[in-house]
Amino acid sequence: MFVVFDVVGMFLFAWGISFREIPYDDSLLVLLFLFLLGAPLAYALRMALRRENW
Amino acid sequence: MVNLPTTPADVLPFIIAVVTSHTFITIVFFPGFIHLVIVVMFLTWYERKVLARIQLRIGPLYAGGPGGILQPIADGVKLIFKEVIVPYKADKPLFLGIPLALVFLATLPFAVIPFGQHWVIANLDVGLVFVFAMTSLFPSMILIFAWASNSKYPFMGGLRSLFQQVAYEIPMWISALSIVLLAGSLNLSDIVNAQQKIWFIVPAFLSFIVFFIASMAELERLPFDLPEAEPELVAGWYTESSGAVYMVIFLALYMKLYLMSSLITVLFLGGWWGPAFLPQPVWFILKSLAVATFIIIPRGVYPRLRVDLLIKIGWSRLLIIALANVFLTVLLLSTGVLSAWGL
Repeated sequence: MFVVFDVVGMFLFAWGISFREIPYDDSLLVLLFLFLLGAPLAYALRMALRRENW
Repeated sequence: MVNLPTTPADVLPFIIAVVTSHTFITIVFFPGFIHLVIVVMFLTWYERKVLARIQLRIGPLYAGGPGGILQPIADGVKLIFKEVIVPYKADKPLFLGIPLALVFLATLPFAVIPFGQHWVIANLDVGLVFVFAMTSLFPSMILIFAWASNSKYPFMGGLRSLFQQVAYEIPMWISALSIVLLAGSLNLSDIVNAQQKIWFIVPAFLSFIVFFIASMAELERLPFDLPEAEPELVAGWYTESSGAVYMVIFLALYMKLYLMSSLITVLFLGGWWGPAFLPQPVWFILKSLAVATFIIIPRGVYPRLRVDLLIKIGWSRLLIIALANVFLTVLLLSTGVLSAWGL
């Protein structure tokens, strides 16, 4: 998860700078991507919480 | 721009021109190295005094004038003259070199931290990423130092430090993303200038909370000081350090404390902006020291977390809040709620 979010973080910063310049539709795609990114995170957290294994 | 000397007679004017140049003053004096060393010395004394006050003690008293103000100098002199003990079969070059690298990594980000409109050494357009890049090298350096010590306590402390900083780095980045969205820039001076009308702590309060907690974890400050938990690991990853090596490590750690306080000031507290009766750098330093105070206070108040809880909070609480806050910031910007403040 660290590697995924570390790499994604860089792309998000690039999006953050140009957020005002790009149309909102394009930003919605990024937000959708961010939302989809939450799915593996939720799964990983569920597994970790189930086993209480951090 | 200072021209290189072409004749021997030009050497002295050249040296005077270099020494009195703005670049030289900013690198060497303020906000450069001498200012950092003085602030770090002050912070070591200040932390003791604050903790003593919390625990109804007096704190440093005898060295120097009022309140033992010269205690940091007394400590420095003592540590310099103590023997540096290198453990048996330790990797000597790494054991002695990594503490210097830590100071280097803690000092370098100050080159892009703006202490005032004209008080910045290098006004980088990717200043925020540069600061994160430098601070994210800390865990690897700590683990190398711990491994080089050839001792089990430092190595376990080094591993804990790595896990902890990995778990809290991502929430820190994501919470800073809200600030990038609000300011539209990675340049730290631009971020401060965007806060002329409203400090970002107001529209990005959740980010501030996440960033502050993650900073404390990055700094290994109580209640997140697992890597140096005394009852379990003696002194954690720097157990085997002594004398000047110990002093240099502490210099790096307190510089990092000042760095994170300065970064919070830049990102959330309006940087150098303040009423005009004080110069901009004074406002900046006062705000940074106020943030440092709030980072220091939990050391005298809170107990240490358990390892599993520590990692759990980072991944399952702070990251979720930071991600949710990105959506909230986008919503605030899209709906024009913040347009009254020029955002």
